[in-house]
Amino acid sequence: MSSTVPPDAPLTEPGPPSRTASPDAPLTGSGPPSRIALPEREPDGDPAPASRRARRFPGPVLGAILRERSAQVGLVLVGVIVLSALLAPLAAALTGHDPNQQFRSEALSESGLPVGPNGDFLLGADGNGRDVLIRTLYGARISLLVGIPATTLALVVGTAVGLIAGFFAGRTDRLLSQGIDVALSFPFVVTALSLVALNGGGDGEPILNPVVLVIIVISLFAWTYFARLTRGLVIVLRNKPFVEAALSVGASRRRVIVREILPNVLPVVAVYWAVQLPLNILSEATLSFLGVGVQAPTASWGNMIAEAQRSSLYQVQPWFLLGPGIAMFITVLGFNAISTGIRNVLDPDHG
Amino acid sequence: MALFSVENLSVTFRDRHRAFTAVRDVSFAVEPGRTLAIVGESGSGKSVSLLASTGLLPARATVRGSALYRGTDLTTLKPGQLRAIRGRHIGFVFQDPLSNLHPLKTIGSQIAEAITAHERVGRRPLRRRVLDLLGEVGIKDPERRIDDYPNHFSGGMRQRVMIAMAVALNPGLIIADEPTTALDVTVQASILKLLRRLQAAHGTALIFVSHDLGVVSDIADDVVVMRGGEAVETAPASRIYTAPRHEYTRTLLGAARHGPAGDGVAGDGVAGDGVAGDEPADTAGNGADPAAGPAASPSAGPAEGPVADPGPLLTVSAVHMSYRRRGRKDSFTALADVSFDVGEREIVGLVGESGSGKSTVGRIIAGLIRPTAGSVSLRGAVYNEAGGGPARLDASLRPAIQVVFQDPYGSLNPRRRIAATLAEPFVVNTELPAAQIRARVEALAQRVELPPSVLDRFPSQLSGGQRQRVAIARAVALGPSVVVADEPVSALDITTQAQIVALLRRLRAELGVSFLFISHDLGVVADLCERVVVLKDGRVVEEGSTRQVFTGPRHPYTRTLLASIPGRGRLVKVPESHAPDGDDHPHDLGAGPGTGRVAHV
Amino acid sequence: MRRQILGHAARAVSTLLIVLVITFAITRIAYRNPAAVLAPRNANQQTLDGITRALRLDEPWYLQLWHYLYRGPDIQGAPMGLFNWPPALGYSFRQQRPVTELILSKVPVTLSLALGALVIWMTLSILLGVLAARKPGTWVDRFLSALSYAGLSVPTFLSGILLSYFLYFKLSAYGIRWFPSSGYVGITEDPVEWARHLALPWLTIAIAEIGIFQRVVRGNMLDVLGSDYIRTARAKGVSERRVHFDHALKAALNPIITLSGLELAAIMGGAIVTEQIFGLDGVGRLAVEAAVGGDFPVVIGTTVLAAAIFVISTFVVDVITHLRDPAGAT
Repeated sequence: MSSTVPPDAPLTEPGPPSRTASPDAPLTGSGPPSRIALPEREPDGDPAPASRRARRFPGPVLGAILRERSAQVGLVLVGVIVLSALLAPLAAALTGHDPNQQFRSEALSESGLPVGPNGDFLLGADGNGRDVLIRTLYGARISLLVGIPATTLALVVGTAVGLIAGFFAGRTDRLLSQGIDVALSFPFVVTALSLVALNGGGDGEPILNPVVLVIIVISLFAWTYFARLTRGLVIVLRNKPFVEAALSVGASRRRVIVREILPNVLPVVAVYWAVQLPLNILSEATLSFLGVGVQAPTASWGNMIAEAQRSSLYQVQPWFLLGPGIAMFITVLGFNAISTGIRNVLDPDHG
Repeated sequence: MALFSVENLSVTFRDRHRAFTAVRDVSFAVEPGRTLAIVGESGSGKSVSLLASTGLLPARATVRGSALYRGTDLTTLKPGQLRAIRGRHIGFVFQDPLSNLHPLKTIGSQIAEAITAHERVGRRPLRRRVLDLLGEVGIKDPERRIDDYPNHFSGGMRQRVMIAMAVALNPGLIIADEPTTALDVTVQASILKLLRRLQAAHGTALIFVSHDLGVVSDIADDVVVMRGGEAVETAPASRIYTAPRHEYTRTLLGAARHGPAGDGVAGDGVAGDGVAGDEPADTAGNGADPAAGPAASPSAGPAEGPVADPGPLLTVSAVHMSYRRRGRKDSFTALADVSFDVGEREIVGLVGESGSGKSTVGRIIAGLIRPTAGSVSLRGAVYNEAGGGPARLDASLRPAIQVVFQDPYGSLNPRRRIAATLAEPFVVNTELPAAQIRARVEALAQRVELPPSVLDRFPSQLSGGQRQRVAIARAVALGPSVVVADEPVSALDITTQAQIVALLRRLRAELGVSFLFISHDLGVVADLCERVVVLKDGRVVEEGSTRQVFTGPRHPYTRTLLASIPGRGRLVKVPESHAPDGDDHPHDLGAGPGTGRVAHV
Repeated sequence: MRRQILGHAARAVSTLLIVLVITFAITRIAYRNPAAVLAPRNANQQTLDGITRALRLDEPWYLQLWHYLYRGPDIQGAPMGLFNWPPALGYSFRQQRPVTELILSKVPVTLSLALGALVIWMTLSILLGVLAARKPGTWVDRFLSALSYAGLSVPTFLSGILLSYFLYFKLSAYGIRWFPSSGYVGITEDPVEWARHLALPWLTIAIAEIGIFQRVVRGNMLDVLGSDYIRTARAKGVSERRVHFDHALKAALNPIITLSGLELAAIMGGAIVTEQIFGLDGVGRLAVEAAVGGDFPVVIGTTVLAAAIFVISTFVVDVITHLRDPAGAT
């Protein structure tokens, strides 16, 4: 099977890739012996120093990222969201509104419609008379609490699989690549639904905490992107002279993987973590929107939006929808901006 | 009046943070039908000045000065007007014909486009003209090839296609930017011939950009030597080669003669300071300080003792290598019955053009791959032969055989400091404490003339030459018996090349290490090696002492190779004799300490 | 090439088989008392026994799997297994219909949704991407970049709701009824109504995809525009428009085709959110309802369908890109 995905690594890939837009290197490993390429002379006069792509990480790069405009915007946005998540209990204490507490008398009109923004309920109430602002703030916790571990878990598993598949090639690679293919072929939502059903246990009590389950389900799909990315990078790196040189001075294969290859893979994978995170936050929201993610009454942006839509109450109380909607937008936008910023710094040609 | 003249041209690149002046106040001119060569090393601004004057640079460059073509200043033209000049009046041939041809368009359509960009032509006459052009540039059977894609052509054929595009509308001037640099020597010779023929037939002026004074020596009427964005010397070719005035021109000439100072070219005004800052080269050993540095490590033992007919150090016997082709039943034979040997303290050149299999030989000797048949042995003990399993050298042999690769960018891990890279052989093979390893690493750096400050840097902060020194240091760290150096200098600038060659020679003398020097560059091989093995299509066609091969080649292919060395007439001196006569005593070079001068202090 | 295709096909088939086995395992484990779950409501013991017999639920799981694959449940004497002719994916006892038939009845909706959205997003992405790449760094580029970020950062369930609110509720409030809020009309019945009903769903999907694709087109274009052969084209005096739309786009397109194949497959496998919001009765909705309700023959069927579409589309994309670029030169 030849490559089914564009052979560019994320550092060279423009725009944030979608779930399926995974970068990969050609699946064909090393072909017949490379004809000896005659020396490539650098085209003279190129003012770009050759070292631009090979900047160090994280030292000076971190500073450069912090100076990058798009990263700055992203950091501010993400900072707001993180603060919201941290300060949610404080806000709840100040207003005296617990996120799941229903204020039917104060927050619902006589006909049962939720009130709009007012001094007491800054973003109004939802259909059950709960404070939309407080629930939105608590929703940030779920988003980050699911998104970050899921992406990290996917990174660890995917990178490990990619390293092994890429380095050992041959049968190992075919087996692992087949596994990646299988994982990619599963439809996300339907499979997630089945897995949630699987969690039901015999007596209807969930075996796993639903939040943990959502984390596992998301990483079950997201690892493939890290695996393909890493595998592609490793295939290229494995044939680099510096790897052969390390082998020929006697370094073991494990040492070569850990000392020579991993340090070259990690920065790229780290960037990809930032690319994947907003996508996984969206995945959580989608699952919750469809009712298979975080379960009511726990506040999640996805299930809040679902409720607003189902009840059509957003037409009388727009903030019921806009509260979680805007929060979601800011979060995803923020992380996307950060990942673009990192990419701009590491690979300035795609600014 | 000059056909094309550049006057006081300066080019500055800017990005948000800084400005960089690539070309500073450069002037030159070319008359109709004449050839101007612009020569300089990478970064000298030679290409940039031409791209800038024809509007082919990206927008972030600021251009000052003027570029007159038949009296019109190109720098003042609007993009549309410039476009009308490019292709019609000025044709271009660029360096790498693969990357310069559109991979998804047939060569016919790409040549046709050179015509239709400026003229309205019917489909049939257009095809006729493209076929004629293909014929004119020497593509055989144009009818059959016209609808092929660039990747179906060899490098030389692609460059012919590029030339067909450049001459399609019979322009007054052709700008050829390193048109033969990516090609094998024999192909290079034929492309140069083609350019000369077309030029003579159409009376076209030619600006030929090159890094190599040798290449342009046969075709240039005038030469501009550039360095660091400035033209340091402009003169008729006849004077440049006989009486260069600028010191840098002399340096370049010295390098192009492939004889670092004192070797062969002495006595014609270039000697002495020929290669800036490098030690006088001498094939005889130094040996003044045989124990110098801790890098002279335990396993170097045999090289130290008296050499009483030790027999060959490394023997390659009847090595055969074939690969199964993807999707095909037949297999591709990369090497067939390759046999030769390398003696103690000998530098053997393995010469061949691309595809000859010379790197495959290197990889087999280094134990990176296994041959399909045959074997390689070190001091009589077979260590790599046909058989199952991945190639892996036995731990005891590993320090004895080391490699230096061509690509100075790829051969060092970009994420490890130089000190870590150099420490690796000691960390893996010894039990030394960190402090001692550090001391050895510092001694190594000194041995290859790297300043200690380099050790704490990353490869990206080093120049190409420095990187190659690091790679060489790593290879000699454990005191190997033989080092396979695969095109170690071909990615480097010509002056750096000479320095690295001198370093290899000195290391051989000091450490008693043998080298298998793989190269396509006959000049460097003539300069460095005692013996030469010529490889063609995976077979050894000639083997012998350097002098014998260069003065009396037996195989027709060797003769063709030698005849293709650019600037042979003006520049290259065939090696007269290497210090100890390679024919009679190939193995006793620099055997005794103190036989040579102290070459480098 | 033929060998490559064969190898690819073999791997595709094995991928599908593994998917099928895994799905089968998940669904059989997920539902402890399958016969009761599978049966229509108020089914009597006789029906339950019938289901148990038809699916061989009392046999070990590997026999059940073999039976499922090989022959399938006999429904009125007709086997519903994969290895019969015509191949079938089992039988939904809940809906009293063969799974294949159920899925096929929903495919036109999903296909219309996916292909229509593809046409819209590819056209707009290529136009906008090329436009942005022509003048990188200018306000046009920055505006398009901001737009792309917005599209990328809004989940489809939010943009879908907003679209239907503004373009349906608000417009109808002013008496403008351009778009219906939900439903589907077959293209053969009335092409205009078909398009009218799908306009908002198409837009919903296109917004998200344009966010991705526009940037990918731009990035690939910039990559290609920096390459040597573009300089060669300019050196020949080729016009800028031809340089962009012929030379550069031609080379930039392969990764975009690959990506669009994958996205298309994902949508075909179930644009679940979009179908849900706009009340489209497509494959995605069928799958979700089956999964929620425990109609596991349908779950297996839709999962395998989605996997098959994914595998086939990667295959087709591979062939296309190979034909465009036989040597992998770009």
